[in-house]
Amino acid sequence: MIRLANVEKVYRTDRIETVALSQIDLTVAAGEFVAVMGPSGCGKSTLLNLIGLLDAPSSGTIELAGKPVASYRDREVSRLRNQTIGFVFQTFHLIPDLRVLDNVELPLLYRKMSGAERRARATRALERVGLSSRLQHFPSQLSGGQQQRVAIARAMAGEPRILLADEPTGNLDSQMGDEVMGLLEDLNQKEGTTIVMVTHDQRQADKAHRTIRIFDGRQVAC
Amino acid sequence: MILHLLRLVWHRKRQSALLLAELFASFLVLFGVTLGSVVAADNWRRPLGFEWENAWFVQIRPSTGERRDEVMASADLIALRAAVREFPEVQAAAFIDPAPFQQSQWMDAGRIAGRRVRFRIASADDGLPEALGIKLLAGRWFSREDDGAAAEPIVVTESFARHVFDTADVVGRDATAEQEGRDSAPPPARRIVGVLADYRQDGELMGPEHYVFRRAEPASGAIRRLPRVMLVRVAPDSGVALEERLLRRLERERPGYTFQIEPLSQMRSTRNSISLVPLATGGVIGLFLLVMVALGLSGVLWQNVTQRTREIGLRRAHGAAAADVFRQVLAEVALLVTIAVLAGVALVVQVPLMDIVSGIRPEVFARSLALSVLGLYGLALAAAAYPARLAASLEPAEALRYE
Repeated sequence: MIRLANVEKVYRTDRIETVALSQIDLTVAAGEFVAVMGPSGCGKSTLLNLIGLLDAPSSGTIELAGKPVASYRDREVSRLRNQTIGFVFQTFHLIPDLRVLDNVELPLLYRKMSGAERRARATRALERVGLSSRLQHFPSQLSGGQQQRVAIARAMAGEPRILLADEPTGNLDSQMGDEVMGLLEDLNQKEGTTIVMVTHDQRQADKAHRTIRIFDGRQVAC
Repeated sequence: MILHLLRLVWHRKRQSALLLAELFASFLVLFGVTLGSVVAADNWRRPLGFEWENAWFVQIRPSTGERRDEVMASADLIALRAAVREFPEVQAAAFIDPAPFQQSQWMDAGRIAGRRVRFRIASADDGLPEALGIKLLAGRWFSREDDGAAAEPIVVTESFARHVFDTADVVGRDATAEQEGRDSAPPPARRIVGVLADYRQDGELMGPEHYVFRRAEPASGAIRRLPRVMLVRVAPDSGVALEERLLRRLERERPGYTFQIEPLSQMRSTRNSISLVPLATGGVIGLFLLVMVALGLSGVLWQNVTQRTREIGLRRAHGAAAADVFRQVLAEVALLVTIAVLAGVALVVQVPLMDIVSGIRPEVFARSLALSVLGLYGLALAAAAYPARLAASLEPAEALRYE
């Protein structure tokens, strides 16, 4: 499903060259649940951004579903992100000026789909995360856990084959964190969604099928 | 997507209010500038009602400095006109007061046929149509058959006829103007003998006005106020030499008078330049304001895009291509423009509905409105293009990290 071969990511400014990731070789099979761990600043989020096609590697190749994505143009990469990948972020990234339902509809806006179907799919996703009574609320009217559930519903609404979660429980207390993890496990087991999750929490990482460890931009163990 | 953007704009109404106010004010400025320009262009295209080419203006003044009514005599005017007509290059000569493009006017007002009307009035002799190339729509110009008529003959423009009588078929109608609120002597009776399509004394840039000609033929003997201007139609390519000869002949004919000759084409240029000053000033101020608005709009949108960097990153992460982001910024601006335009149109249509400004034809008003709407969309979208390009060029990962 996901294959990274000898991937390197270097950030360059006029004065400094920072190697964020180096010699990353990684394969994630379809339906796998992989945790990525490592200290802050080691390159975990960079790795997730590369897998999610939010950033391009400085060298090496990335393949999604057997296809190298390096030659893709912006429109094709965007379509791939829209139809294949879902994102969940530590800080939720909900649009504060939109109601919960409108936030969840967001990925579907970039697909050819009727408004009614979009609304129905977003509503179903919110029902699955237990927020059917909060459709017309604004994000600021929800707790952190509820906001993260909205973010998961938004990722689920597009029915992606890959879900990338960047510290999804990082801003939540343990109970809310467990609830969110439950949703991710449920998605992986019932839908067969491939999940790559960055976490600092060993307890949450233990729920994944395997853990990749990154240190100073290098993969240290699988 | 449009509904999504509408919801976004609605929920951000506080942030959008500034932009909306700016766009609304811009629309009003743009409409003012456009209306002025379209009215001027429309006036320019419409016929003046007379031919100014190859016509000369001859001002006649008593040289002794006395008031002209005390010293000028009909016989003098008849002699001067005859002297001018002696020249083979002169095709016609006639008296008029005030003359076309002259910076003076006579106004009259009153109730005619039960309808209140304010109109401009000029005196002219029987030969004016030939001297000024005036063509009548109906009826006739003044002639000897008006000598001794019980009612003063007048020739009116079509706009006057339609305003007073709702028809251009007014030859023979009584047009005596009853003066309101005055206990003076009864007004002189007037009867319409002819109708002109139009007559715009002030030139092409000025709009049509209700205009009335009254007869001032020195040879008729019944003239209340002697005209002070003779118009002379000359052969094409007549130049300064003829002007000199004419001047000398006139001075020889009546040494007690001074004469000043000026081609109507020159007077027209001067008059149009004067008329153009307020239009050009308004246009320059309006354009300056619009440039300021465009720069301000661009700045506000730039700030708006910067504030929404993370949202843009999020949209990119969820599948928006750079082109989608570019279009979204423009679409949001277009939505705001639509709201501002709806409010602006609701306001400016009150102008014709409440008859605040008269003399603007409905099609001119509609054309100005359409051009203003298009202009505002163009202005706002042009101002939004750069911020939209900035938004579209944001790298998704970088945008998501933006603090």
